[in-house]
Amino acid sequence: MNEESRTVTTIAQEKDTLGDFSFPEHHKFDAGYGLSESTIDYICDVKGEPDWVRAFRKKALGIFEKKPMPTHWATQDLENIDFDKIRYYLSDGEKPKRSWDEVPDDVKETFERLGIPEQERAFLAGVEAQFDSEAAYSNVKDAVAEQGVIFVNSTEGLKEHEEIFRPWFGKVIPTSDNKFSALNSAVFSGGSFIYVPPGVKVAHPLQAYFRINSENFGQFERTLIIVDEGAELTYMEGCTAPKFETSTLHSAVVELVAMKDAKLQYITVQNWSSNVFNLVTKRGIAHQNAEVRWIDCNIGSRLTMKYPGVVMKEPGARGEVVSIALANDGQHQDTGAKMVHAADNTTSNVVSKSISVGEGRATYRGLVQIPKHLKGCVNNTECDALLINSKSKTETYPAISVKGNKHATQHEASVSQVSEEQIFYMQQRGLSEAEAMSLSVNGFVNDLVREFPMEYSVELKRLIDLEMEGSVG
Amino acid sequence: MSVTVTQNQSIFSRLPQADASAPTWLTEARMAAWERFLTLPMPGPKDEPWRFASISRMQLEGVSAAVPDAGAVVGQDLPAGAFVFSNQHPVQVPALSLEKGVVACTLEDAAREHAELLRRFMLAQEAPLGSEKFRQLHAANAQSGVLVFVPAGVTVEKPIVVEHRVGEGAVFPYTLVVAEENSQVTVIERIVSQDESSAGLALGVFDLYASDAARIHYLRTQDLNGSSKSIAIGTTLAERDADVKSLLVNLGGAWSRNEHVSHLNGEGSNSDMLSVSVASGDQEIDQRTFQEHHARNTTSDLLFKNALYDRARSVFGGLIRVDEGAHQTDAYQTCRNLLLSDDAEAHSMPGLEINADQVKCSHGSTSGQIEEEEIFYLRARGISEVQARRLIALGYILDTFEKITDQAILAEATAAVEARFNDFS
Repeated sequence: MNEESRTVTTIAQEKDTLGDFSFPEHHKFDAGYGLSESTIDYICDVKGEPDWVRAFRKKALGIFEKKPMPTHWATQDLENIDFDKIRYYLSDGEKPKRSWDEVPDDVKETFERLGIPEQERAFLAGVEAQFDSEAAYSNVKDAVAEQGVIFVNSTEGLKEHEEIFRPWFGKVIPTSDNKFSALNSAVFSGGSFIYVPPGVKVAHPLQAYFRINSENFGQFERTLIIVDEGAELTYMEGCTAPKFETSTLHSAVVELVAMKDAKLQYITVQNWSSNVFNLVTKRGIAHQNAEVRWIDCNIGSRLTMKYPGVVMKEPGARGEVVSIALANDGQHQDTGAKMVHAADNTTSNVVSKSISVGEGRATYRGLVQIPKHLKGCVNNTECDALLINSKSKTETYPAISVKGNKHATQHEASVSQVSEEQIFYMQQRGLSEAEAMSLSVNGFVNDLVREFPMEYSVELKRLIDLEMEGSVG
Repeated sequence: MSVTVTQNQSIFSRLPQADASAPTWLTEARMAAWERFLTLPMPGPKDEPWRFASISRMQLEGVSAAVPDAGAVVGQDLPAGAFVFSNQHPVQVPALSLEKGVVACTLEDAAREHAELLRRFMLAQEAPLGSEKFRQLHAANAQSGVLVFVPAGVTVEKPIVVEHRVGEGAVFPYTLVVAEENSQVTVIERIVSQDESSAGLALGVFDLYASDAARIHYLRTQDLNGSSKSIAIGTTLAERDADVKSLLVNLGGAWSRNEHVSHLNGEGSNSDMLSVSVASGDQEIDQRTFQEHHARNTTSDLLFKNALYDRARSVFGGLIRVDEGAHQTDAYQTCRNLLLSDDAEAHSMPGLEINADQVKCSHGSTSGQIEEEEIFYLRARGISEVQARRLIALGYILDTFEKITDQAILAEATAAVEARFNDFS
């Protein structure tokens, strides 16, 4: 056995225990179970938030309560979320840490178990690791701060930099966008607020890691990134969660704003445990000649619903979604993309690849809108699905609306299998069936994996290898 | 039934008319369908099968039933050898010399002589794409239409042609084609208006049943006037090694909706679903399709092409579903829109649900316009710009007919489309 496959086997043996652990909980603040006005008052008091945030949250609670579950198009599984059995706010009550040494040992151990090498972490320009709902670790390198970049959590962002963040807060994704964006708006905590000043190109990606580490605990982080004129930023998030016996709800809202000529890239690699409901609303606004790219990899969770969107608001704007989803037994990846062309000469591209393993189910939902009296709008959408086993499921539901005769759109989707010939060919050359399958799957997503930064693509390959173990035979 | 019926009553409040000659079972079945119609809710804009639909343009509540009137066709030429219904009234029932055992008769005769077929198809099939309420309304009212029955092993040489002429008010045409083992038949159905202005509604249903290794070719042309509306609810059932090819041609009508389901029930069965639409003015063509693969080794191929002028609007919602165990399925679905004005609109929702492996499935959807280069090429050869645009759009639509092997259908569909494009020269 060669070195690489030995490593894979070792990791595979750890698979059952990896991510299946938790640490003693010690929360100084706990809003208790269930959601009401008093929960919101509690959160606002603990965080010492200004009155307008309190009013914003309470209005959102009303909208959340009024909105029905979107089960007329989405899975009935949503009905299994018991909102009364969720704790909406937890915090260790400590201020974000400023150096690696100050990070609690148990959090460090979590990172260790995930197999992220120390040197890779050190390589990153800024690290914001969220432990439960508050950032347990925050370290923006001096170089980035010197460039004038603001990189804080949501509480700090709204309190200390209101003039920068308030004008866009809740504007990209209105509270009433959907039931879960309303829920997030009511109880959000944690997440990243970033502002990049005009012309500043952030050389290294900013990054945040977070984990859910309390049973029955919903995590509602809120992220708002504003990249000013001509500036560039890449942001990365990744998360895994320990396995618990009851369902955990994660419902984030991520708003991106790219001003004129700005470039903003948002990269996600997720590996939730298969009891997590991951219901996320993500949308970006691209102004003149600006570019917003979502690069998204979803692995794990019981149900993920996530359709990153780009509103191309001014001429020349560009939107892109690159998405990989892997659904294993008991998992449903319901992902996709929304592209709204609201100005002339805007272009968008969606490339989605999904893999269904065992009894996993992968769904693609897409929306492309080109309203009338615009010209030169182009959309290209490709979605490919790979089915590994006979009980694997895949679905595709795009909706493309085009008005006027000065545009071009095309949508293509296909479903395929790993061919037996390919597997046979590789087995002839000494690979086991599982290794051959893993190699094929990695080949299927390879051109997309290259879009991820180096350290992520390594992690991604490892995650795919782990998921493919036991899928054959 | 002793119900007094006023002629101008809405089809939504008018009890199905008791037809003196109808057998009791049919009268009872119509009443049962009427009861189901009343209990089912009206489609709303939030219903997924009606997404993007202009429900406000439907306005069916105010439509009254058409008054059967033989006089309306006096002085008009009747196509030789065709069944012709005018406002539900059979104005021509041809004496066809058909192959042994083949039946082609009106619905009225079918109710007396082939009750079991009507029970199995007209009254038992469902409309899963949003119009179940309207299918029940149809079952309660259907009195005009044709049953075609082809016994095992028989090939019907000549196409069976049915023409429905619609005046003021609603008609409920029905076409049932039952082809037994190894048989083959071609059926052509036309939905046209009596005149250029009467506001009619054609709420039609067609059921195509192909038994083992049977072959059915079916063409349905809708060429109503600009004041009329149309709903067509169709089902294709294909048993082992059966092959059904259907073509829906949508040319007229202010608002029309087609729902067509193919059930691939038997191993080796195939369904080709073709459609072309040419729409201008404020026309809306709303089409929903469902290719359901129940058995392994089945194939289906759908190609819908739309040419949209002026403020025309097209909606396409399609779904391929491969059931668990339906391995070795090949299913394709393509919807293409050619937008010929800045106010035209195209909405496409091509969907896939795959629950089996070893399948080949794909769908594609495009929306685009005529390239200036293509116009330039034709103009360089002395063709005017208007003619060039017309020829390119015509070619785009006619290209759909490449898969049609039945010469009668090919000739009729081509002529109908060419005539429609004369509006743009």
